[in-house]
Amino acid sequence: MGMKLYRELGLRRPVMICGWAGIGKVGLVAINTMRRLVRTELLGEIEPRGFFEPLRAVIVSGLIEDMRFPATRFYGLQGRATDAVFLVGEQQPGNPEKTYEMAGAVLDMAERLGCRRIYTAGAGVTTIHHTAKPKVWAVPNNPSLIPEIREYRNTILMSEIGGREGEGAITGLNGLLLGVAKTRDMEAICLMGEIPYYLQGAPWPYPKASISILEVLSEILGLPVDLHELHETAGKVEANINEVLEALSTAEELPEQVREEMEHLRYPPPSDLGPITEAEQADIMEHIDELFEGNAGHQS
Amino acid sequence: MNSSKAMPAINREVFRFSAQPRLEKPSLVVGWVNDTGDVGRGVADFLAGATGGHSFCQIEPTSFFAVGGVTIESNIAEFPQSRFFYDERNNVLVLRSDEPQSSKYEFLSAVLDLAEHYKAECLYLVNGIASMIAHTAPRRVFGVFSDPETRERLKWYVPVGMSWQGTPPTSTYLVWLAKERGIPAASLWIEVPFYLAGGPDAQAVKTAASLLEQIIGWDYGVSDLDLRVIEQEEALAELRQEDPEVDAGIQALEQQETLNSEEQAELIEAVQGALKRHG
Repeated sequence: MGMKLYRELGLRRPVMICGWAGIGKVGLVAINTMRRLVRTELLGEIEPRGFFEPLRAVIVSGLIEDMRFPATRFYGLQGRATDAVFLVGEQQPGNPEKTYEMAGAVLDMAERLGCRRIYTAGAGVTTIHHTAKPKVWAVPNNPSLIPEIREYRNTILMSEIGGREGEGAITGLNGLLLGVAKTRDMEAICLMGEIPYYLQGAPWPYPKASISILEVLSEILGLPVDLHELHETAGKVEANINEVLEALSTAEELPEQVREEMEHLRYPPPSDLGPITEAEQADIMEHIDELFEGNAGHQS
Repeated sequence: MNSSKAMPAINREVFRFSAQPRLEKPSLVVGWVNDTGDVGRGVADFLAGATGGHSFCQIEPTSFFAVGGVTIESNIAEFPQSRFFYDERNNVLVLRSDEPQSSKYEFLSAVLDLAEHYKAECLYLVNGIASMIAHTAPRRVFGVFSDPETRERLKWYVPVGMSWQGTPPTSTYLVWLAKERGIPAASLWIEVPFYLAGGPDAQAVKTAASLLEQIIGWDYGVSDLDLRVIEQEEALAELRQEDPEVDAGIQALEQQETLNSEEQAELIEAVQGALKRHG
């Protein structure tokens, strides 16, 4: 397991911005969209063997022509205001040891490229309604970053989320990277776009949350990005969600309690949602997952 | 044999040696347990028996398998094993192993470390592949090779190179890693009638063993396997006589007709049930 560095670009104290596949592909879509829109250059990649199993082999007349692995690639940007390194990870390692090892490899690359700060991007699962604009939850690995985060648009700290009192957990690389960066005295901030709890297992991405993250990052980096394509995709996804909820609300075998909750999800503004018990949430999730399985073809 | 010889190229945390055979550029035959038609297991068991059952080395399971307990199969406690056997006379190494559940890259790299340590001339991986054929049809063999030279060397034995794409099975991944390390490797895929895919297919095992005998040139003979083929054929012939629907299904396959999914499922259930009863 190693790293390949194809070029360095002479970046000046860049920030590193990381997006991996995860819930709703929120982080991956955000970072991959941004790195495409600002025209970055491929810098290097982490050797996938040892972290991932191959996704696809192509065998022609008995010879293996290609073996495709999930990629973890670094892209560089020489910006007007800030230089940046974008990390796009198509998959996260499957066990904690490998995840820890991956976090170390990413930070090795960050140190090699002289990165001064790390941002990770992912999803924050909450009771938000899918028609509402997602907020961005921000978690730094150092208290000195909190005043800066308070200036970010549409962003809240964990202490500002009802009932959490500043507590919580971030699973996977988005969280682990903050922790490992802390051990290396590197600043790191995780930005999580809110995603409705009933969509966390959906087979499609949730671009609305990605847009919220991109708006924040765009300001931080001083890099305006045209998000109209992502807004269009978000509109299509929302239409799909409405269709699914419509179908679910008329499903005959649905328990009455769940049907009522579905009615709430279809129409009301987010402020009308009210508290949802854990039992209700589990019941709704169970039926939504069933329906998504039967509606995988609706993916945008 | 010298059991105390130093082995610098091998990670001793991964392997547990009980002996160190002297081999001159051996062939390494790999058979995975629980593959289609039990072809890999069947060939590995046959070779382990034929070579005198000399297991000289095991891969420690802790990094690659769940070791919190055992599974129970057919009333027997089973535990993942990765054991190497050898035969100095025929210059053969055999790996009989469960497929790794985690850290596959490290596991396969360890297998290749051992192959390199013994300067293995070539790796042969034996696998079954389910096919819409009758058990009375000859079994074709498809090859996946590490390099054009190996394909050319084996083309007389394995004339058909596989063309396929998808999520690679462990054998294909091993061939790919062998290719990267410059170790010649060939993965042999033997056709198994789909209704025999869930259990041992004696004919496919014999086909694989006979083919390897020709390629490697060992002198074990396959009469034990012949006996199992006869027993399997008799059991299936009996079933065809007893069950006209099974007979009609197999007859359709013999005439190169295809069965729909419902017919396939019925045939699988009838055949597997009968073979289990037959023991």
